[in-house]
Amino acid sequence: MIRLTAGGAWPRTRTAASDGLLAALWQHRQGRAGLLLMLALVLLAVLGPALLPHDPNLPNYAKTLAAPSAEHWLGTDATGRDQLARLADGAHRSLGGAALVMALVFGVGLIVGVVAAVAGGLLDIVLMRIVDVMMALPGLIFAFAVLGLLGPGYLNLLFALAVADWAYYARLARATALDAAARPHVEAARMMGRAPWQVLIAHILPAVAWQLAVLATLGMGGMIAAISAFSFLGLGVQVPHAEWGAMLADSRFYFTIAPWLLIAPAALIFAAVLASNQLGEALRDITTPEGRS
Amino acid sequence: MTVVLQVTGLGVAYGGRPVVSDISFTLRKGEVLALIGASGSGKTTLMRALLGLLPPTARITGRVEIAGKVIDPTDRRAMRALLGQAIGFVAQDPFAACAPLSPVRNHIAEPWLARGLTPDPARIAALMDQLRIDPAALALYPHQWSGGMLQRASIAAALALDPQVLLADEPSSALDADHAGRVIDLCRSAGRGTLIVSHDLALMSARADRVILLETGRIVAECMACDSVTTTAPVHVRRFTSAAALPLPPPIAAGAKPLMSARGLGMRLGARMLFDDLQIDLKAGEVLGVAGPSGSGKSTLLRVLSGRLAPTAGAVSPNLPAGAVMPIFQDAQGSLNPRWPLWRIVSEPLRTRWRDRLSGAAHRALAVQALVNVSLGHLSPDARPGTLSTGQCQRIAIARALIRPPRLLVADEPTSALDPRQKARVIAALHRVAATGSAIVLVSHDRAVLQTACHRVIELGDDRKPSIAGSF
Repeated sequence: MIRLTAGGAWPRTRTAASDGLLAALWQHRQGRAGLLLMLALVLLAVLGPALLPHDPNLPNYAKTLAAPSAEHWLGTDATGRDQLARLADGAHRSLGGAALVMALVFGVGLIVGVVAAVAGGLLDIVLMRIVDVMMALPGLIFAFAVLGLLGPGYLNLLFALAVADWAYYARLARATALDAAARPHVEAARMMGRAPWQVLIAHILPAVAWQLAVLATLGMGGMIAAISAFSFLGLGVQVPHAEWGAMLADSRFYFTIAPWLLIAPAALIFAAVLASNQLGEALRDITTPEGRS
Repeated sequence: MTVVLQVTGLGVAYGGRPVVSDISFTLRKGEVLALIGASGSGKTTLMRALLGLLPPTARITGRVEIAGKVIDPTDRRAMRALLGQAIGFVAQDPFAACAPLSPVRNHIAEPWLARGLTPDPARIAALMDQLRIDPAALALYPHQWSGGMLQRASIAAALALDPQVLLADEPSSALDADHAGRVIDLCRSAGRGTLIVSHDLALMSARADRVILLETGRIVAECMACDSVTTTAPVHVRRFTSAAALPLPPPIAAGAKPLMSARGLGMRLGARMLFDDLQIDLKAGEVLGVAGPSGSGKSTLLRVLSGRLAPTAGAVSPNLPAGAVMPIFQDAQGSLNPRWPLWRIVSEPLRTRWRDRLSGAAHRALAVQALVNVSLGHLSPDARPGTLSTGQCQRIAIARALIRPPRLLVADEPTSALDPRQKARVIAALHRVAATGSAIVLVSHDRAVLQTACHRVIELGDDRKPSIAGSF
């Protein structure tokens, strides 16, 4: 028999994987860049509205389209509102909205995909045909249709984007779950007498969740851009609230005389997309077990 | 005799770190030269260096002559003219070597098509005949072939244009002794010079002419093949072969209880009878070997014995409950969850029953002890399987069986990808499981493993009646 001695004496080696995800991301070159950039944007969203002196929604018709100055660091817009304050105020709608949609899509995709893979049979067929129908429709057009039914508005927009996007995640979740279930280590776990729910939780769900997390992080950039695009078209955030895409839309009439109104929100959208792509790439490297050395 | 391949002072280095150094040997017309050595000793690197298949980051030094002409393996354009025509190559993994989307026929025709020639049906037919492949099977796709058949197809492709030099990386790893011998005779024919990397010492000592032993990238010994397994072999060779000596199984305890018995076991697959009327009695602590040519139903028998597949005739009694059977797979790496640290993998059998759960620290302690028991105590329990060699992964899988010894352990080709030293270690670890009173059924195509490491061997064959061979 095996004795309970000598054990625990092994010093725990600090590896990327045992140190937790944040440490592993920090050790990854792209991951660190993505983390820093994302942290800066989150700080802008959280601290900006509290620290900045100007009200983002208060017009000041004496100072319309003012150039960047000591008082208004990024200038003012056509109604004299402070550009920096509006960017900070809009950050949570762009970033937080995208994160919310991704979380929704991740959860629904994971559940639908894994249920289809595990249940099989008729349920699998029905769920996957629904996914097929969803994937046959162009996502943005479908979101337009949902918004047409619900009417424009920020929360309606988030819902429409989630409805248009979940099918891809469900499809990937099902494929990953089927692949994981066919691996020899899963067969070994079954044969050593682990219950089906134990196999699901210990072996299959983690594999699916990591795959989906990588895809969701990579998709986050696209989601930020999509929220901005719909707001640009006037279907998302409504006046007077600030959102980066809507600000970009408003600035287009003045960009010859006030280019700062165009550059600043565009740069922030770019930074957010870049940060989430960097994080996604890093996450993919870290969580691909075969690629780890 | 004419020299067909002359290598002088060949070295390969990556970023200043030498992987292979100072390699010199000659290969003569009609000669078979065996390259042996532990895994990681540089055998495959050496072979790929000669073929110009190393990545551009490799620094290659030294001099290579083929039939008296100096060649430059790093000159891709010049090598393209030589490969296939003057130098044939058989890659290690036959499944990876064949494009999965085209029938095997295209794979064999490729040497001709690659240089704009028409494939020669007479030559293909002759090769198929010599390698005992049914020409009708050529229209099938690689996944429909067995590993051993594909390996022979790869050899046919390498020999298609009758090269003067053949470089073969483990060309017989999936073949039984008859086929392997035939393959080596075919390589030797037509005055070819053949360099074979092999783990199969018995085959090489019987069929090759000379043996070169590689250790950490250098040639440490060279001798006649027939001497390599005798006491007159150079000391390095003797040390290498003795490390490869397989251990005998532990004796079965005098009062060992019968574990299971199968009566009249039969399995029919469509119109094909895999096996019929098998009688198997297993005692606790017994190691039973299963032999037979590829496709004879060895793996199917394991599935039947472990209760994963119902036989079409006969029965196994008693039915072992879930958790009483533990599998060891040929794909050692795949049988371990790549995301888990070793301690968690090894202690998984302890987590099957929720109410018997131990603390994480206890699992870890037991896992560390199990790792020590399979001579892997030097590994960190927090390492992941991706960092380990195949042989180490196989022993991790055995440690997992050892932590809660099963009543029956079924092992499907657990040593097929391993070098002789690793093979001996894996067998020793399996015997440790047997010593705890578990019965083991071991499927292998490796005669040496079956004859030395098992108490009994049953043979599944073409005559469909198994014969009990070799009893202790």
